[in-house]
Amino acid sequence: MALRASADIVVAGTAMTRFGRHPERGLADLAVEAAGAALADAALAAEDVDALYLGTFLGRSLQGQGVLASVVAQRLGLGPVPTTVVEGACASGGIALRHGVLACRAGAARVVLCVGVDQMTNAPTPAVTTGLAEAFEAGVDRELGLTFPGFFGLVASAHAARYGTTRDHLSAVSVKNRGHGAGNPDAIFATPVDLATVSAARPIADPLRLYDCSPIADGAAAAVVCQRADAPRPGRSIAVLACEQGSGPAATAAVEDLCTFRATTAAATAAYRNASVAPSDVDVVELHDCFTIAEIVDSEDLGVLPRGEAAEAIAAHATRLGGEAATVNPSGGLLSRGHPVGATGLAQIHELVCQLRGEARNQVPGARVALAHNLGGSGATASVTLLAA
Amino acid sequence: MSGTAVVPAVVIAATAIHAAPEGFEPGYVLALVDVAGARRLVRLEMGPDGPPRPGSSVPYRDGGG
Repeated sequence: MALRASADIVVAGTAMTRFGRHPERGLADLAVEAAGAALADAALAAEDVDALYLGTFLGRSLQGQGVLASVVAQRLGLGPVPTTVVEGACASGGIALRHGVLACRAGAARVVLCVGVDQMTNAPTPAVTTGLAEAFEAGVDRELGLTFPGFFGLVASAHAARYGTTRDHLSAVSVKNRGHGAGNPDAIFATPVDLATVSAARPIADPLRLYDCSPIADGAAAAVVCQRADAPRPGRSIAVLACEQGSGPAATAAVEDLCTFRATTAAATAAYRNASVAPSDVDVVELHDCFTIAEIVDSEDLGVLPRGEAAEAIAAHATRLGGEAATVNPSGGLLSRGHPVGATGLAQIHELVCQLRGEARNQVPGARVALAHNLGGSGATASVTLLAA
Repeated sequence: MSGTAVVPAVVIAATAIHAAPEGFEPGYVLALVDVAGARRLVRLEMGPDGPPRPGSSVPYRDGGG
């Protein structure tokens, strides 16, 4: 494997808040905590930051807060730098990172602060469900009462019909990720579950049940991106080999194939090509397991597991820590950590930076190449980032 | 002339919504169906065996001209 010689952009520091319920704190409080800790991790100060990109999806509809990037910049004491809110549904955090990488690569900024945040638990669940449905194209899906568990229920139905994916296959994803997340102090669910519990949980959207669904949460995560020459701690900085994005339909009837997400395959293809990395080179993956079936489809779309074989391979523990394939979601993923939607993409980066520094709680031995995958909506957008130690 | 015609539709995927958004009562079925080569997301009544299976045929009320 030849790592790309021009991998001169690095993640110099990362941090995240605990994902869970934070009723005593506001959206900006969470973002400021994560951003300040990421700057400290990078050994950089507020005055070093040239730009801020902030990913949030529900900041306006649930919390009524616009211009959040500027609010956070002021609270952090940044200079009068450009601040931009980035919205790509559940991929908002991954896209914020991409804009930071692009700004550094273009020479428009030397140090960029990328933040993701959302606060969801202070709103009634039906209101959150309605807010999340804004990620569908207006006109059909929402008006018929389609929810995101419902959309991924359709994906599971189609995947079962084509590949024979079973209830036990879906449950195995939840059991693996809740096992990885057990004891994670940053996770909303830090306890394991067994197969029988997952399979018998109350139905949400057939065939998906409660533990097939990532929990809503409050939280923030952040990453500091810069040129390697500008990183005060180059030895702790992690190279960004590629940071790519793809798009696809936001209406269910326009999805050509429910068993694959075109946004993911487009972003992954570009990332592997631009980094000169093959899927088999990747040691550790944080992918978008918003639902158990999503991890199965994502694993196939990213080339982590062969098409049509992911469900069986996951059930056979191939992607568990110590398994024969790349370890997938050693943090516990969205299913365990929780899914404050705008923060998820940068929480994935935080976990992978810890992995590549050799400091992760569930350390993949010798991890050298890592992949983050963040999916938005019904595959309307996706980001894929490749990192290397 | 105006009206509607019931035409066959083949189920590509189907789900029953048990946790509904604001303004909806739980328990309805949504199906992605193929109607003469065009895909539609449609709402169906819940059958005794749950949502219809992919590959099965369901009636679809098409808008008339």
